[in-house]
Amino acid sequence: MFSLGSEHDKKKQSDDNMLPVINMTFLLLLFFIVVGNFSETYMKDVAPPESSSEVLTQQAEELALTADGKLWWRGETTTLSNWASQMQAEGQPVPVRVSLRADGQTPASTIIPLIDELRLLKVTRVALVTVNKSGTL
Amino acid sequence: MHLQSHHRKALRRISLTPLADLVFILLVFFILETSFAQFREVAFKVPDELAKSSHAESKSLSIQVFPGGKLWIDGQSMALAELTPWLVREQLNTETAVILKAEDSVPLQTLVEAMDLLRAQSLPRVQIQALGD
Repeated sequence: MFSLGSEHDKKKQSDDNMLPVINMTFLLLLFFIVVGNFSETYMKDVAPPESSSEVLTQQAEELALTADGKLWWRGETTTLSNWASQMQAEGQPVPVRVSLRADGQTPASTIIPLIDELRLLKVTRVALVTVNKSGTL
Repeated sequence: MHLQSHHRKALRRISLTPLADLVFILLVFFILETSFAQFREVAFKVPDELAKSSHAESKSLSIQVFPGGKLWIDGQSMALAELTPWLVREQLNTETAVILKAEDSVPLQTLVEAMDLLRAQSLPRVQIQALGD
């Protein structure tokens, strides 16, 4: 009886010792949930160019372009004409300002025809998504 | 009173280890999946048909961009690093429209670097075109 009791006490004690660890872990977990932002899988293939721009990205319809020339919108590959018709099907006009998350290594021969197509869709301004030169922040 | 303390004891006996395991797994998942990158943007105007043809040629500066950051401006060749001193020397009007004419294989990174340098010299009106246009 005595030995059983002491074992129970020991177990209770070891669990009590874990409480600060669990607390810390919960805090870390909360931090990552609140502060971090999820990136979609295809975004990992897109490494935006570096710039010294201080302007943070603004809310705009975002298209992503991988270095091999694939265009992504809302997690799916698409073409600009499909994108425009889908926007119109949703009852939204094609925006005049588009945010383009293109890979830094995308050649001009891919970007420029895309800009020309955007012009035909009456898009007047393109905002290239970039990362800060010094790193990620 | 007795019942209550008995109940508390029963609760105490539930091991916290599986909970800790689960929370650790969730933590690792969130660490791997989240990113803290804050993105910036460099905006430019989409060239309209008029600008692409002849208009504003007099008021605009055309810069040809080649791979490796080589530039060709006004009949002279220069590296990307020499652009800033050249712009400072020329003292262009801030209203000047700058047309970057990129050769096919020029990566976007080079164009963004050129746009950065132009913006630093208060020349925000930048357009991108293909070299042949």
